Amino acid sequence: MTSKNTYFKAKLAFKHTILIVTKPLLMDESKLIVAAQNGDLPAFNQLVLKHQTLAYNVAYRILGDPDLAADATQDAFIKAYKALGSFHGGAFKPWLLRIVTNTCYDYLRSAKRKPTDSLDDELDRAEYNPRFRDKSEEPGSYVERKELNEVIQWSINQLNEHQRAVVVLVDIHGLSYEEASDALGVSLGTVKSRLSRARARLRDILQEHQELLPQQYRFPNRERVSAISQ
Amino acid sequence: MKQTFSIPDELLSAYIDRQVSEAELRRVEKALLAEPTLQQHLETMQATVALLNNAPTLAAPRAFVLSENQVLAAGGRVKRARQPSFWERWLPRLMPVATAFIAILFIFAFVTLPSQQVALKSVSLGDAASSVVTSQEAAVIVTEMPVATMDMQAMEKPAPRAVPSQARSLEETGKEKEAKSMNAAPAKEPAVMQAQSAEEAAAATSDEAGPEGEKVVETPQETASQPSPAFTPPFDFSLITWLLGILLIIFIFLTWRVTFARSRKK
Repeated sequence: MTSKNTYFKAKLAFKHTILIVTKPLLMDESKLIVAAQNGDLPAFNQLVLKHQTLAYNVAYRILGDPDLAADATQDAFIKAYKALGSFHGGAFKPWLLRIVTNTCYDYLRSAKRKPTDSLDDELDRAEYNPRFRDKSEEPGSYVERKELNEVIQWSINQLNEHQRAVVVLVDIHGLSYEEASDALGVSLGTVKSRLSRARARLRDILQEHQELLPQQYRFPNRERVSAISQ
Repeated sequence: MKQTFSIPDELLSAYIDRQVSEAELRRVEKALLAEPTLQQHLETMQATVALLNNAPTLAAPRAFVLSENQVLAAGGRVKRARQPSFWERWLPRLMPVATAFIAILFIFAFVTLPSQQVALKSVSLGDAASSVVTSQEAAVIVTEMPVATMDMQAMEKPAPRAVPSQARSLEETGKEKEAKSMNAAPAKEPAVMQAQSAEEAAAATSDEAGPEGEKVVETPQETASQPSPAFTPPFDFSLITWLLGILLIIFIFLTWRVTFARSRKK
């Protein structure tokens, strides 16, 4: 009798624990948003956990500084929580990214950071960053990836803030033009033109420094281009 | 010197993402066939896009979850969880304690209450108890007998004499009442024998009593019709055990409802 009772209690306790653990994970985004709009901070924190990597990476690519990016991301989430009342459905990701990019613009303006003059200076400042390191990754692969990241980031830093934002959202994080348009609060045409200018600028920069790029990312042979053009 | 192409960069960029109309698509493809340098130009742009697509993703340095203090400091509002009432907080803790207490009481009552003790004693004493049955027991049984038996003439005289001694002996053996009732069946035979002896005694004394016999005759009948206070069934202690048992079952159920069923609802 006692053992049956204990088994029954243990079974119930186990089910209860599973329910507690999985319930937030099972809630879909729209329910979390509604709960967060009603002041439910844990529900909003579930959204934070879901989108924080994207938000941080966008901030990092726009600002070019990991610490500043972390601060901007935190501020963006606070602003997002306060502004949740103005969210009237639709896609949450572009809405959040709009807040993140605007926060990054504010940081860029307030910090008045000087653009880096030379790639060497930028690379000299680059330190070992454990966040890039995948534990299963070979050391050589890690170095290559780190170098690639530094070249990309240095190239992006040469763009103006609007071009940075659009190239980060579309080319790095794979947002569609429509999503980027929502996230940046500009028209589709503006997204297209900013993106084309940003890509052209980056292409020119990278062509000049392509010896820094890993072999597989180097551009098609320029001799062939010039031979064709002649 | 920067080269100029028939297709602007904006259209070429949109072409890479297939964000062009059918007409624009045909125009770009026609130009690419006609201008090899444009093809090369497109390839470099595609390489740039591929490079950006492969940009490493950084892990977030920390969790950016918000605390109440952060939100409040920023002027936001946080819906605080409803504080549970006193009973909501304490009932789940008190119920198991109360149930345990009732369980202990139940066990104590089951083991120690007089009804059980007497029952146990009566079982252990066995025949000894039945042999101790006294004359008043016989009278008790006689009073419980049908009226037809009570009308027996032989019971008229000796019965009143038996009553005082019967009362005394019942006071002495009041606690063993149940044992008597349990042993009533075996005790009946000696009781009947006693009744018979009383009958004989009555027959012997009836001559001596003479005319007063009629007076004496009524007394045993009154005694039989009005049972002595000693005969009223005392409080049955086993009832307490039963009540505690029922209470225990109810409390076990309530404890389950308060602790597990409520937590499952949440």
